[in-house]
Amino acid sequence: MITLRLALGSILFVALFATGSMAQNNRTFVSGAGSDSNPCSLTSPCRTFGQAISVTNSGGEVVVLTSAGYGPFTINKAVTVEAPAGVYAGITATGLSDGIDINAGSMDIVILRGLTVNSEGSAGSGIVFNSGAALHVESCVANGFTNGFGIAINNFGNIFVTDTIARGNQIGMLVDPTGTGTTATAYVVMDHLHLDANSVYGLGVEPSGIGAVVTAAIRDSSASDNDGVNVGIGIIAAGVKGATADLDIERCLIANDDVGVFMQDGAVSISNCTITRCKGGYSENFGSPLYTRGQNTISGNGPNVGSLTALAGQ
Amino acid sequence: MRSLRFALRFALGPILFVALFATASIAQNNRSFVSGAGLDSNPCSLTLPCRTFGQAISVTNTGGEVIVLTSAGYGPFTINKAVTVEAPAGVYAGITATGSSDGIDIDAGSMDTVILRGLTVTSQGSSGSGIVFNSGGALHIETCVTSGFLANGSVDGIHGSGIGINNFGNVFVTDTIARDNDIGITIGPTGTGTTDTAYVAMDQVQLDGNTVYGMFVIPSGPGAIVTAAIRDSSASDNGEGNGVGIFAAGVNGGTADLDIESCLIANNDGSGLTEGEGSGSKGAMSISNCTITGNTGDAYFSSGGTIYTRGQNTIIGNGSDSGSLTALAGQ
Repeated sequence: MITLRLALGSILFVALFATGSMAQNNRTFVSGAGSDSNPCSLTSPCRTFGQAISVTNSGGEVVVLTSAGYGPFTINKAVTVEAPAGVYAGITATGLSDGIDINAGSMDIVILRGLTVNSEGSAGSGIVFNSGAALHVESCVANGFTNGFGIAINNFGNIFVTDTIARGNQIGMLVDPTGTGTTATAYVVMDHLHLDANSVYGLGVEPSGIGAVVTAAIRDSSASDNDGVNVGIGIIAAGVKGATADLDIERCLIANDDVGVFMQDGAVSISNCTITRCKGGYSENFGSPLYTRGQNTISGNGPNVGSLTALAGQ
Repeated sequence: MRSLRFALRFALGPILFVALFATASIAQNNRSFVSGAGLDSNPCSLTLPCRTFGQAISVTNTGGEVIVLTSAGYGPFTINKAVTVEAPAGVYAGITATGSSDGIDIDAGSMDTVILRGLTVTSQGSSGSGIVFNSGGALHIETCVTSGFLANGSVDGIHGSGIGINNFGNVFVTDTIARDNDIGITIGPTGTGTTDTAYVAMDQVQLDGNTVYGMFVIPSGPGAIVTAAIRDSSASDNGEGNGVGIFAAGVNGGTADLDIESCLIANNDGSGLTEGEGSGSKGAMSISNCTITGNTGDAYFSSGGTIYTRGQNTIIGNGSDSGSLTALAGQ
């Protein structure tokens, strides 16, 4: 027993020592009046997300105390970055920069809440998921990425986007992980999104390569007025080069797009949706099923392409 | 599709560069700030905020943001560029219109996107309207309140509107209340002979307690089109004896198309819905998953336009019906 206790003590000591020098807070704080030479505590907050994240424990939180701009940053661990309602936290991307890059480990869960990401001529995108186990985007805004995407999901993982607006981008939200031969899946759940006024797509589900699968669902959302210089599409689901794009669309408004719903190489269901006043309502290609229970309002559009496949309600 | 997207990206690059260069000399902040304790002689920075939106907008770059730091009244203003004006939740930013003033006028360029978030626009006897879109590429109204614009026809028979869309463009109204005005939202662009369209998408909008109409869609003139959709919203308790919850009518050759999904249209003192296209005009309305109830007059009234239904609306307890509904097959 004594031997075991001593052995455990050494392990604990080593563990604490190893992490203590890099991160020590379960919750850190940033403020517009903060300084990165501070310890990021409540009374001595930091100025940037990057510094606050670096002194936050894995699984901890970075909380915004005052309205201000905080600048682009990268997340490389499991962490929550949150501006509570009542506090504005802006991230302005310029030049080649993205707004927020998530380059986390394969077991890391990243949570973004209440952040506003805006482009001033950036060539990049707003919120970019390059790696991680899970990403939650809640009550965020991604605006004006006319050369990129409001939200870009570039890898496999579990993605949740809730109460979020992606407007005025080239693509509102793009899910396009690349397969490497073995099966890998990005699971994406979207609720109460506004993917409006983007120039190419509102929502793009475009996995690419052998083995790449995206399984996505969106409800109570809008993909409207995505009408670009060429062809703007409200929602597109298209597997590329052997990939599979599965998408279920529930209670959404898809209006005034060049094409409302476009799909190929996968399966899409639409339920309780209104697809209206698009130059083309739906476009179903290569025999991929576009399922419906027959309770959508599809009216006042230009010509549709392909056909709908009946799905029995259960 | 993928190659098209990247071709577009490269094509946009040079245009953006030119645009940034051209505006850099007259405005300097990507993000400006206003505060109740601010001063317009300040640079509108976080530590030295301004007092008015007008000053803050003038020193903000195209595509930039003006952020409200503290709850206060900030006064009427005009927007003439692409910009966001935002009061975050928890901060009250009031705009009180008086005299002949509107609350917020949008007089932006044809490529400009204007975003309003979290603003409260009220009238103290103003003969104008709350948020008025006179020109611009796109307007997003999110989490705003407009209230009390009761011109009562005092100026040239014009009614006050909580939100007035007077021109063509892409308009989005979300999580917003327009109450106790003459008209909650008016969408009335005027055509000049060539086809032009106002695209309007509304989600979770309360258009209640207005004295004339909750929503008034009235494109006028040849070529004028309004293509509007509204979902999860309410147009209730509007009208004083002869009002309408939602009224859509093209006049003088204009076309009013409107799709209504999952809305409550209740207790209007007058009709629930009117689709009435004037001579030479055409238009259509669809209603889906709506509840139309307790209206003193017609549940729906169609005259010259078509009202489509898939047969899954609840229409009960209204005064009467006029005109007819046209069956639309669900797909």
